[in-house]
Amino acid sequence: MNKSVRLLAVALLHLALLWGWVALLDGKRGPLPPVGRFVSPFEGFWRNGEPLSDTAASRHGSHRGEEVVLEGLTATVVAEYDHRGVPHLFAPDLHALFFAQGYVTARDRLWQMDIQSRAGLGRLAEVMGPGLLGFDRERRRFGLPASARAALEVALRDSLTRVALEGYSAGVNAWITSLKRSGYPLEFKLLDYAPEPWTPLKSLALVKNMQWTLSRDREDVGLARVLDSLGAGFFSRYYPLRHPGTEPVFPRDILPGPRHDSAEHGSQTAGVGGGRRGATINQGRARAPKGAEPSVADLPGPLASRPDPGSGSNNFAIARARTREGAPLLANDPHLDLTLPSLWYEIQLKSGDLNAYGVSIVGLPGIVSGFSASTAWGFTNGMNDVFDWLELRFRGDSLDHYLWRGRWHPVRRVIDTIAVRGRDPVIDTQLWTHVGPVPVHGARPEAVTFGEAVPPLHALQWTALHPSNELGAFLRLLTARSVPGFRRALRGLETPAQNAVFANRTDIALGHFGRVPLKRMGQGRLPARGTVSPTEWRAYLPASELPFAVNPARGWLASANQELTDAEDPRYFGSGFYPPERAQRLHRLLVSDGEATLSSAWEIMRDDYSRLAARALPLLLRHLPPGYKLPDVVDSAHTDDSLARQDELESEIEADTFASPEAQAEAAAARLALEESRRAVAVLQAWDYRYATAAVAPALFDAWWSAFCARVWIDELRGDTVKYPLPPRSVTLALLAQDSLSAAFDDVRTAARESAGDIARAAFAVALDSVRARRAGLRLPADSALTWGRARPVSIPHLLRLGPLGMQGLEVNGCRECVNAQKTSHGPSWRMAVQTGRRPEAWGIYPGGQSGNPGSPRYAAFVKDWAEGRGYRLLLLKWPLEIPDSTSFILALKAKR
Amino acid sequence: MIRLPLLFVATLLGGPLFAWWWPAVPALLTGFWKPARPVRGFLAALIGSGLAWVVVALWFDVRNGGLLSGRLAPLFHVPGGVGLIAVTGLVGGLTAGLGSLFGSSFRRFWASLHDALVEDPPEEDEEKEKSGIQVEGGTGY
Repeated sequence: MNKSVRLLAVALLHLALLWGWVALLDGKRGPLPPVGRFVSPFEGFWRNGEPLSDTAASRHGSHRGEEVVLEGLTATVVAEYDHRGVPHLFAPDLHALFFAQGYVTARDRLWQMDIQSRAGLGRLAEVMGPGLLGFDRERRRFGLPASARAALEVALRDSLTRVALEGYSAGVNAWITSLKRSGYPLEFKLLDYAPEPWTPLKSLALVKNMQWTLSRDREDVGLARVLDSLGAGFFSRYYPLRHPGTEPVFPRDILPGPRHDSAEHGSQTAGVGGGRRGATINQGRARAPKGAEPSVADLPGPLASRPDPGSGSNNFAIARARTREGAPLLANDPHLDLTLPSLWYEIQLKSGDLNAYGVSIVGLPGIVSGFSASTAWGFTNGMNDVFDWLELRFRGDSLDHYLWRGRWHPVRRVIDTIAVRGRDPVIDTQLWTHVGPVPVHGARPEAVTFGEAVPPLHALQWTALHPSNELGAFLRLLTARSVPGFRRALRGLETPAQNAVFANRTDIALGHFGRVPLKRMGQGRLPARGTVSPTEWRAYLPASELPFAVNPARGWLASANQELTDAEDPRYFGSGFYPPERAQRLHRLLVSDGEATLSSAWEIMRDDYSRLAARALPLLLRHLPPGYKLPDVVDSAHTDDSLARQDELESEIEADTFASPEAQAEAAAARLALEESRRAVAVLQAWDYRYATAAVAPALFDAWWSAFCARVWIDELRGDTVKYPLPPRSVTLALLAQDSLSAAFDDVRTAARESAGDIARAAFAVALDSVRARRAGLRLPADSALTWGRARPVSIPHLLRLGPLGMQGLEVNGCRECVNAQKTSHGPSWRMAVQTGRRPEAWGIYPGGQSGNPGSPRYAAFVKDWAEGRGYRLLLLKWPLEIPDSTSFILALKAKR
Repeated sequence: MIRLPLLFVATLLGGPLFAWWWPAVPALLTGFWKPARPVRGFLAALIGSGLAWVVVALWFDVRNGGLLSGRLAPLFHVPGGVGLIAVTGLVGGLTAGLGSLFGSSFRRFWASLHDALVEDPPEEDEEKEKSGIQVEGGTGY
């Protein structure tokens, strides 16, 4: 008996070991997926590795092909994949077309669609755990999911968008139902969850994502802090409404006819050095009554990551008189955060008289930026201020009523439930007023706040919360043939407001489309006091008064996120526009090209010349002492002279220090430093202001200019550039150019009076230090230079920020202020140039690949070509099998009988 | 011995049909069938099933040119695709090995229970010994 007991114990121990092992490997442990399932070659990640060379079930003549029968499809659709994996869809009707679009997009990018739609609806914590609760809560309190539902109702009332959304949804679901668990995309296995059925609401969530990214204004709080803490004088002098020197998108001479004065006030402008009186200074922000709650200035928390004032989109169109082909050229490169997989998915859609090629947003039917047989179009972000905070006064602590125009109104409470993986659902209360939601309910520390400074007890006025049907506008654009047709199609586009460019075989047009609230000059720039000066939006610019230009005499149109109209224009669109240099450069390139071709248009988009550098660098170099400076005209006689002078300087230094070894070492170090600075200056002086990957000057200039800007303002900003935004660099540049003795350059912390020169020299030393440190950090050998490609490596992260699944260390030209506005992971997410005409030709590329599967050779297939500036010919087919070679793959989608 | 190739085949056949821990099942059965020398059983299961997983994983990996395994390996702190193959083999093999171990120890317990309940006379003990059912003492568990 004892023996049996002993053996039982042993058996139980082994059972426990087995059970424990299986349980351990079957569950999700923190960030790790369930290991057993994940590494199993039968249901784990190994299956996600696609074969390098495409194989197919059968061959259709000389092409490879496959047939699938799908539930919900009512007609046959042919999907022809070209050699880059772009599907060209041929369908007999719209429902089948969008069904097929949903199907093929899901086939390549299902997980991306799932995670991005969850983000828009505030449902990330549901699958990714409590760490994402803050993210979800923010989305919900800002009203995104609610407005997605409202927008869906509008979209379903429009027959075109209804067909598109329902067809697309059915197509995605046809793909999902065909999936077995072992066939789930990799990230579902990594995160250990399953795809759920797609709905039209999820497509709307993607629209909300775009609105969040492109129309959310992050300036308000920072500017309010500056005004409240540093004074109205400082604020109005250095934070003007317009950048000095801007060349607007719609200058007076290209706009037809006289403009209507639709704003309430006359025109008021502010420029550097001019402190204008009146409402503009406080811009609607009246004095707080005594004893009021602490002001926004005391708000804890860093500023939101502000849209960098250098990156952004370009578009332009060139009239036929200025092209070699004699037909208009159009180009577009939207600049966004770069990710793998990319936001964009290339596709061709053909059904009836709709035949268009371009990039689609994954999760949405249709095409955003593209071309057809006779037209082309593209978008840049309008940058309007359609996002305003209103401070409300609530009755008591219960937040049940708020004061508006002398009367108490009830607050609408919405009880929201947020599902959280691994925990009980979280109940969250939303507060809504007639103006908009109130995301942060109190100034007390325990009130829920968000990562960035969101003002408490302020209601949000945001056009994105108005129910609209942007999808309808983009879909109608696909079949617009004429300029009036283009204009009509985009009427439904409300948020984000866009500058859309259009070309057909004869005309070019550029229009500003969106829901633009009528505001006084400067209104909404800062959080306003809703009780004191009601600043509710009451009217919007009618479509006829939105700027629109057609076939201007100058022969070209362009936009680069700069101000929309001249300073005299009474319409106020906002103040968060980008500094002028990129637009100015773009304009000059267009003016100088009288015979444009696809190639020259492509080179314009790739241009890496910086007007900022061209203006700022000479001004900075002026301030370096004569010992540093090499003569402007480099001929041997002059060079010898100045070298002789420098040798003199050196011997002076040496003569002083023959005394002690320490002093000599110091002299040697000083000599080395002098040598280094001379080399740096020489490099800078020889620079052509281009941010090429092999150039050495850009890293130097970049470091110098940032150090300079920081040093100019840090003292005025009380040493806290986390709390206070720096004035725009256009202001700093203007001061440097025009007023180098300005008080701004004086360091208020010192007794002495500093000038621009002092700051420039100090910043130069800092720049040399930082370049040295950078070289050390990169472990560059002594003879290898810190080129721009190495100093600013580009990375394209995976959506989950898992390093190895993204790409790093890419060397790409361009800079923040260049037309090729490339930053570390933000840049041309799509680049397209289209030559319209009898035989249209188009080039395009995006940094990614058609497949969203990291195990596919098509995952990042385009990245290298994109980084090196190449593009691909985009094929607008008229019928299937037009491609003669056998690289295409036919997928026939058949209806179930 | 026969267990190794048997488990190799069983793992391959059952893998596509059942859950990831399927290798424990045939291993458990072989352990039950041959409870003598549990260590050898453990190793047979470890290698037999482990190898099956490695072979299938390698097939996918080679076909994919090591693209995916190369990307995932750093996430799991293993050296390259080879490391992931090794982890795969280890997981499949250990699952089977532990299954085999339990199978054999359960069989021995069951047999001893049978012995104890059936108060067998000495001859029957001898019979049992002749029939080859060996009950080993614990070998260091």
